[in-house]
Amino acid sequence: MALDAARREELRRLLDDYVETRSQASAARLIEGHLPLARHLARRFADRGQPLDDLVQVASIGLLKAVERFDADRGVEFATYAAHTILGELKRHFRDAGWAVRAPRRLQELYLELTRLVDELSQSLGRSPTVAELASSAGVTEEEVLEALEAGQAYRSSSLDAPAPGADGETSVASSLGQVDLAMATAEQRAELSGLLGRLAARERRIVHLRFWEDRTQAEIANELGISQMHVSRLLAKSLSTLREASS
Amino acid sequence: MAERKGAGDEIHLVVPTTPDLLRLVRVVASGLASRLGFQIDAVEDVRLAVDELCWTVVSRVDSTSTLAVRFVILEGAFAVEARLQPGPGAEADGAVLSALTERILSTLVEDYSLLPPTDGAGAGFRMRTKQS
Repeated sequence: MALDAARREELRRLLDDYVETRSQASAARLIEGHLPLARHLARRFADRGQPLDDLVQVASIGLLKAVERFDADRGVEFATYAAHTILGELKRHFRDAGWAVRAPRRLQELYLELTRLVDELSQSLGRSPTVAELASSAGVTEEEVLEALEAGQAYRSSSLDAPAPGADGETSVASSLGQVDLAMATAEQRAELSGLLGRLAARERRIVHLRFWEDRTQAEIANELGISQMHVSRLLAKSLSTLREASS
Repeated sequence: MAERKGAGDEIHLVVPTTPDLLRLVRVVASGLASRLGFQIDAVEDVRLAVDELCWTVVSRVDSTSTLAVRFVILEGAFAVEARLQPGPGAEADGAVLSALTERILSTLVEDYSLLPPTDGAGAGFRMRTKQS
């Protein structure tokens, strides 16, 4: 990631300010200044079946740790130290937190293979494949496909909480609910729905809205959002789990 | 734990109401959907619906309770009926579907309903998948 001289100078100034003051405000500015680095490194892991937004959050946590732990006396450039820490955080995320219920490596790999195959077969068949078709294409048994799917639903990042309502600013909860609810729900139900859906990140809220309010299929949602069908499926399961926890 | 009965069109499963074992209900449901030739997104719908309903009936009981589940294979679809068997000291009160859960289930399955507690048995649910 090449930086121009002015940008480099700005980051150096932010670092000097932080090293000198160690204030929260200067730490926040330093973090903000290095967010492009965090995003850049997160993108390197984007082909592993995890939402990029989640990876950026993990990378940001790594960046935060780098800022907290950085020791200027050790003579290492902050950007080098931060990149090392961010990469460590991303790798740890995949190793430890990625599979909430630890699944054997072969199932993790099969799940990622299925993610690709579902999209490919959907294209060639003009519909979603059956489990038997997936098994045949992957060269495994139907039971193995089902096992991998089950393991895949556990493939989530438990450390990533949904942002606070309105934090993302992309889709308001009110617009997610859509006009249909005006007739369907009482005011009390509507308030409850609004509160619950507000616990989801903007994209997940949109997926829930498209699936359950507009009755769109997973494949249609995947097309619209430019992500894989399995990714939609996983985000739906994750969203419903979040909503259940929020309502309990 | 799973028992195949008669002509093979029913499966009975009794599981403790702990999250790690309740997933067996989901596993059996997705296995049945697969055998019936459901497309992968329909298999996922079944899994989500089963999860949602199981959670609705077990969320208020402790892990000493069990859930007795009956899967009935139909023509191109299957039905699931589950009943809580409350553990000692657990109260057999009814379950309630939120507006959100109603919305979700009405999208995912052909038919569903909650079963009120009866003498000796806790709340339960009944659902029927869409056609494969």
